[in-house]
Amino acid sequence: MGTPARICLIDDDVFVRDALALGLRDAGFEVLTAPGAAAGFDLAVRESIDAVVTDLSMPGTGGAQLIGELRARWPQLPIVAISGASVIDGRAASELARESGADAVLAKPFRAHDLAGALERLLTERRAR
Amino acid sequence: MSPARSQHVQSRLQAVVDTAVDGVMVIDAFGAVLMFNPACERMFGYRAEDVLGQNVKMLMPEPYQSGHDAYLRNYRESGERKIIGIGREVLGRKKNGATFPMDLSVGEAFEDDRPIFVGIIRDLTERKAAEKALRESAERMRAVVETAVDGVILIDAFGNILMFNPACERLFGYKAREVIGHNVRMLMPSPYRDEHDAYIANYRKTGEAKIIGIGREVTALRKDGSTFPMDLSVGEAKQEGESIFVGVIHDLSARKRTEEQLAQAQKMETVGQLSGGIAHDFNNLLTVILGNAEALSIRLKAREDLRHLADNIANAAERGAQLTQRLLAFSRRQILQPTAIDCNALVENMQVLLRRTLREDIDLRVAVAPQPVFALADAAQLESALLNLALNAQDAMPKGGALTLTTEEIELDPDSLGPGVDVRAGRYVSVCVTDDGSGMDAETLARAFEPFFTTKEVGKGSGLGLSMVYGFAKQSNGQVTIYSEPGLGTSVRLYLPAADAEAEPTQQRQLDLPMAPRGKEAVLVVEDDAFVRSHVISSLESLGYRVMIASDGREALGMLQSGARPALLFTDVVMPGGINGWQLAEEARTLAPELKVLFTSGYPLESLTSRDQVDPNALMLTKPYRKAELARRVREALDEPD
Repeated sequence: MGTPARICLIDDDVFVRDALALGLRDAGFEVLTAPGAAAGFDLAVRESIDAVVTDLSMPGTGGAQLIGELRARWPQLPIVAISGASVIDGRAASELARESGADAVLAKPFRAHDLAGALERLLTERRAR
Repeated sequence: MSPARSQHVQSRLQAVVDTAVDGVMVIDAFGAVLMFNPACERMFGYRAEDVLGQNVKMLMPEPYQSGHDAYLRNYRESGERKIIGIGREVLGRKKNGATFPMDLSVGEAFEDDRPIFVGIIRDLTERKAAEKALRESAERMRAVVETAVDGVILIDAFGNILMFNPACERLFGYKAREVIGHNVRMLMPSPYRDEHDAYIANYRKTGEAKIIGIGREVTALRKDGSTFPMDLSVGEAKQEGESIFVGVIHDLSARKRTEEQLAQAQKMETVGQLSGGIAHDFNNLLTVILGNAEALSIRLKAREDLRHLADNIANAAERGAQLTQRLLAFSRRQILQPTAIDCNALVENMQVLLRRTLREDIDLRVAVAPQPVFALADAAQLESALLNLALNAQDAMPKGGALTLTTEEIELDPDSLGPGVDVRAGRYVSVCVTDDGSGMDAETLARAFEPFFTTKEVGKGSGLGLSMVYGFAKQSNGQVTIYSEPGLGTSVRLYLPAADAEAEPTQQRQLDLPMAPRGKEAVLVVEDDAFVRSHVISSLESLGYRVMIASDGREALGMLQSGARPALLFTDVVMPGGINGWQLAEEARTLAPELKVLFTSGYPLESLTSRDQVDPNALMLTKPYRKAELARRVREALDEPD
């Protein structure tokens, strides 16, 4: 691999953010983090990023809305949704994520290599296209 | 006596007779009335002058009137005096023809050698009326007491039972004759029995009756030794100066049962809400723990002794996640994908899995409904519930036994499943798992669905298996019931809403796997834990592999010796039966040198090393693992160059 892929990681919980960032960096990714949907979107606009990992349930603008906006702007951007709740506003988290445009959904907690694996797969697929 | 003195006596006696409350009358031997005092006048309504000289029988109704002449004649002829000196109750006849009860006592005297008779008459009308009223009142009371639904018991101040109504007979199982005269303590279990003695003693000493007028809940003892809750209200009455106590007993068994069921349901609901509520936060915490532990593990690559500590933390976090999932299942907050399930087909398919999952001494029997039965539920969850129930059944039959799976379609109404088990009226499919194992006592049965309630040894079960089944049934708009008798076995029946066969067909469940690698090779799985085994079987089969199974090393070697040639041996490291995973792999390779091996273990690596059991080059999959990891490691092992 040449330059490491740059991942934008969004989660309102600083400890979750740090823990996942650690795992992704260990897996060879460069990680930029944001504590919420707005900050995350801003980061994605300002920095050149290769993929987004975002929590679904966050205060303020939720993950699903963020995914929708990211997808509208970057149709090819790999997006992985993560969620600690299986149901959000009465809907299955996985369904919600897919409908808003996420490419993969992972239920918290997960192993770092599960997330890394999903990102690698999505990045490989995108390169192939 | 001087004439003057005699005159005095005469007038005094006259005064006595005139003022007597009772009637005084004198007749001669022929019945002619010689004296008729004012009291007689009041009683009979005749004035004295109407009666004097007349025959006394005018004051008698029939048949006394007709009999009186004969009586007097007999007396005159034989001297036989039947009535003299004896009071008796007779009827008098008033002037207006009415009769009244009277007590008549007759004395005999002589006047100029002729006998005369003195009659003293007491009007009994009022006493009779009072007696009648009393009798009627007593009869009414008796009718009330005899037919009362509640028990009524009467005791004296010493606690001796005076009365025991039929309701009491039903409640306590004693006949009234068995308890009357005995102390009421016989109806009380310890320690109330001894408290009662002290209570009665205190009452006799101080007159302080603590319980009177206040109902309270106590426990009663039946003849057969069983007890039941009752509401006892006690009243006190005086009978000839002595206290007697009336106890009214209302059986609370049914109410208690309903209350307990309600409390249980509320408890389950509360735990459900609680666990559903914390699951999200809990999963975030576990993400932090897991992520940091994994990062730590990588940084401790050079310190193998410390690294496994970090790995343990990561494994524990994953187990925490599984627990959260089970709690969500119980709290009915898991995502279900209900489809019309052909339950007969599902049960028959599961039969294959179960035969390989359960011990050999479990005789698996399947009896499905003759016609297809379709239920509206989540197929994967139904399979998981049945597997749970089958494994519980196996645990209840440590020495083997029969496990029966049945399906049938039935019509239920809200009362079908008994009190406290709510179910909507309609058609249901019942899937029943029955064993003939050790069964459960009533106490265990009552708590069987409660989360974290387990009868298994610590570490053998989470206590969530039945709770998950319960949660699944409820979330599917169904119900679940357990019938069990100690020593006879247990029958768990799931009721799921019936679906029309024409509804959308059962869909293959989509697993959320990022392109798990698949294969078609044969894999020999050696695993002693039935739950893990069945999970591995279904995971590998869904990935396309052919699966052979063995529950220990000896069994696996036997299969290889008899010619089985799997491409991969997937074995647990630590197993009962004398052969561990390393030894099994070594011997297996002498039988089949081309065999690939993948080890799995839930034990920390260090403890394996310390026993010289670790092969540093071996492929190892640490428990617990996810299906994706299993898929990847299996593929890796198979693709390893020889």
